[in-house]
Amino acid sequence: MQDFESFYQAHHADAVRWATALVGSRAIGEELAQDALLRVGQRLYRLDNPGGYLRMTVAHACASWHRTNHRDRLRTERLGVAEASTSPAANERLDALGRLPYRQRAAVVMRYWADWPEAEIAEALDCRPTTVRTLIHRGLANLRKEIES
Amino acid sequence: MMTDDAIIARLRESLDELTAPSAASLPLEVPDLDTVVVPLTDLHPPRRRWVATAGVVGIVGIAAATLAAVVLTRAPSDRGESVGTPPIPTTAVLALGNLDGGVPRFTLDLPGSIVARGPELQSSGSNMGWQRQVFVAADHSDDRVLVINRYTGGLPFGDDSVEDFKDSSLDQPDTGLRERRAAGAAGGAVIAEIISASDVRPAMWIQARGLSDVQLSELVNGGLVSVDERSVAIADPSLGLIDAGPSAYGNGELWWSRMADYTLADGSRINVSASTGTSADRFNDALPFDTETVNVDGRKIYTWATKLLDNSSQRIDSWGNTDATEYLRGIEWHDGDFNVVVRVTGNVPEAVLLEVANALRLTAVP
Repeated sequence: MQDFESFYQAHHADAVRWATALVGSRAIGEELAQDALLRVGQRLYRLDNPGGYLRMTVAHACASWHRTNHRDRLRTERLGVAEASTSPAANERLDALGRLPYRQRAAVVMRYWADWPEAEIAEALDCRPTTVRTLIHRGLANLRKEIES
Repeated sequence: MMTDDAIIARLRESLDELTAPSAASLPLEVPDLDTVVVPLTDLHPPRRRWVATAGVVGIVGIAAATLAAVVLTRAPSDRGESVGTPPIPTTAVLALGNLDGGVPRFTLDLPGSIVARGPELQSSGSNMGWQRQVFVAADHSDDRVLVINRYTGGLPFGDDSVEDFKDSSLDQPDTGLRERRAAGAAGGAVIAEIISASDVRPAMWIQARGLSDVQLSELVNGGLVSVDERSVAIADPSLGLIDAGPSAYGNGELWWSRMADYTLADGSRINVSASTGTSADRFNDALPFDTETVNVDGRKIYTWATKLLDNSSQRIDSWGNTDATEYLRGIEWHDGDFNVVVRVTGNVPEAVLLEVANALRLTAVP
């Protein structure tokens, strides 16, 4: 049985990357990832698939963050606040990604950047695999419009 | 037209940039699960209220959400508790995050002290969510105080995932990561550490009082705040009020906020703050509101006067030169976007907390 310390060390970087990509902010991503890791840690010995549970927890935490920080995000977008560590070109694309509805954004990020299996994306987003495909399709179409415009 | 592959390639490249570990990242430190303890039973509202309200919200939408907020704010009187004269707030918070003996959950051997911290239940209009905060007061001899407020997470009012959220977030307010941030704030590397840890995010705001122009410039130039303004000084220290004035959001937009620090006879402190949760313009529109006086434990807490911002054209940069005595301060509440937060510091008896809750007509969390 894996202990929390080794689990944390093995998954911390991935959790931060996922959360950062899903919320568009390194600082907030770190916070959410930390929350998710601690939550998994408290259940670690009862979980059959702690890695999968971590993915789901990160996705839920990010979704929750998006719901409750909608106003702040709009304000941020309006003011053009960008991550200091990314290039202008990357910022433009990330802005475009950030304008997608969260589920579309999450599906695209999970599938094409984090390389999660479709079934795990469906589990993380609480939907069916066919819905995941629809979200990805719509997400890419919307991204294309955003980027090309 | 760009192909899907081209879009994906650009996306990957951008996300790789965004998520690349930075030099400012804190070293990995595995948190100790055993030290993460919060009396959740003291903080949870009855679940049936959440569930019932969620159902109402789902059925009749925004109108029902408004109604639910009204119902919530009437909860104290429904329970037979005393009610005061102020208008019923539609937003209210009673934070009981430090009730576990009233002892700050960590201490740092630094030239400062952590005065308050912990999870809070926040109600804002139709939204209710949890937020977590770290407060640091560097109590230097020159009376500088820096307060850091870190918001994370939350959930919409009536969300069925409330239990999960509480499990995942509320009971882990203070990990090693946050402790180091707090340490940086209270110690010598005041600005650098905060910036490197959290960047300039809307989720962070600061309040500073007693800072010189030079010190404020340091904050601004360091990127922690992007608007040069300062809080208004204390008008009447005997009231125990420590702060009033606008705060700056990290993204450059002002977040109007007021704070009052109420010291009980035994030295315990109750910190009350209110913030607009919106821009200065909206704040001006919302004012004025009635001035009220609330008696708590034989002492008075004043609401802010209507003069607070009676001129809607008043500019932000006038605050630094404004006579602080123009403003009464204390506790404020309002509907809409206002958040009212009561933070408890020290070993405050529960009876006093309830008295405060009743006086402020807050929805007490048993």
